[in-house]
Amino acid sequence: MPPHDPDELAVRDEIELRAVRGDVAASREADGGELGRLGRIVRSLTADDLARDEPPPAVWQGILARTSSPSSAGAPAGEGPDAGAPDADAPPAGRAPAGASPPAAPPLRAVEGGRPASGGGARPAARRPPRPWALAAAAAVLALVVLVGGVALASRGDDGDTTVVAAAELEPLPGEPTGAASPSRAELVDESGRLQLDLSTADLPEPDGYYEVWLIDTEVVGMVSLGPARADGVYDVPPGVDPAVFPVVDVSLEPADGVPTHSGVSILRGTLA
Amino acid sequence: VGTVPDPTEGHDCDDDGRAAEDAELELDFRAGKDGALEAAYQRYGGTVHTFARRAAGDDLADELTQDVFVAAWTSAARFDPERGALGGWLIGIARHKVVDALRRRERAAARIERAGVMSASPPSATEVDRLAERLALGDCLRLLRPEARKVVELAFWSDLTHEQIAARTGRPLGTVKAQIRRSLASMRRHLEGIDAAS
Repeated sequence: MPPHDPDELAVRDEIELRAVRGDVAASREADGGELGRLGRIVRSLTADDLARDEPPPAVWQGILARTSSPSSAGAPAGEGPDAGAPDADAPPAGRAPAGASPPAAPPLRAVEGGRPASGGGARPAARRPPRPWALAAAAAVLALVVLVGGVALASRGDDGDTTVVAAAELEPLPGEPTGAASPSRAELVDESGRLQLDLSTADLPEPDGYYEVWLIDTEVVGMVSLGPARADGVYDVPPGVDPAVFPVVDVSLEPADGVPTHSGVSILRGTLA
Repeated sequence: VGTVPDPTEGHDCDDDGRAAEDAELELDFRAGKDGALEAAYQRYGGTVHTFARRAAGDDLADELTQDVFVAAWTSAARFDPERGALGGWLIGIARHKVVDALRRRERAAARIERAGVMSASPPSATEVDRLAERLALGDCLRLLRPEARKVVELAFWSDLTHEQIAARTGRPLGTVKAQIRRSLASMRRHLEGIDAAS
């Protein structure tokens, strides 16, 4: 904030004016050079940089649809991971390119079971950030991938050659639609030399599409699909795939659109350790 | 000049009013208030779309724009006005989505061995960053009322002193200085907003 002394303020104004016009010394004095950089950018703006598209109405309608209905949260709502801090751990955001899915949003879906979501009432367009799954619970959402892990654990139990090599607690991604009220866990198991991933997840809502399990590298660039979610929660790690190279266990929500790549909508994620 | 109230000061109140409106929108957005998403879209939807189109191409612009606003609204509580302007923050989110989309497209192309699909090489991350800054700062100019914009333009694109700008635009010296000060602060906040989304 500028100083309050009028004289100081006047001096400050002068310095700032010189700084944005490219006076290096003034810029350094003003704020260590940042104002000079800002000035350079502004002075390089062209008419193109001041012109703005008018997005087609479908864009806003889609946003509305994807943010309004609690039950639509199972749809591609909550797109994009952790928007506030997409860091190295962020999954590929957005959906597959090349027109994988139309820009138009899915239609609003009625709340199944006829019961309004908690708090939301029957408002057709509750324009609030979807609160991860407090709502969904009430929306008669089916638990699809419920893996108590019983099967996997039991089978492991009677095999002496089974060892848990690594494990990961899976966390819901901030802002993503998950029903992770209960913890989700992945164990990397060595079954007589064959690697398997045992996944037990919290109740996940019925997907609009299907869930898919991935191993991803730490750069979040390379990834290996372990396939669509399975009821028994046991996934073979393909031979040659080194979990040390792909330590991130990721559960994504995939539209049934025939695009084989990751949708960018990650539901759960954790790192094997 | 001097003690006589300037009749055009009223206009400047508009500027202050606009700034106050921005601040209110930012707080409403963060709080997830009804209508805040729409207001933010009205104000910045065109900018996000322009950014997405220029960085990633026509075919992805609509979808990316949607993704940006949905993601922003989903994590609205993470937006912190102390760390930067909402407009910048939205562009910051868009930047990440664009970079991801470009990377994915590149990978897909490589995977399917259809390198030919990319007619031109996609912009680099640095170019995308630059574009983000240009559009964020462009908004700071674009959204000003014409009289105020003239003052700010002269601050950047002329060698006129504050006094000369005042004379040129017929506005009081204090108003001119305040306007420039406010604009610079707003521009800084927009740049910070981009980084706050990182």
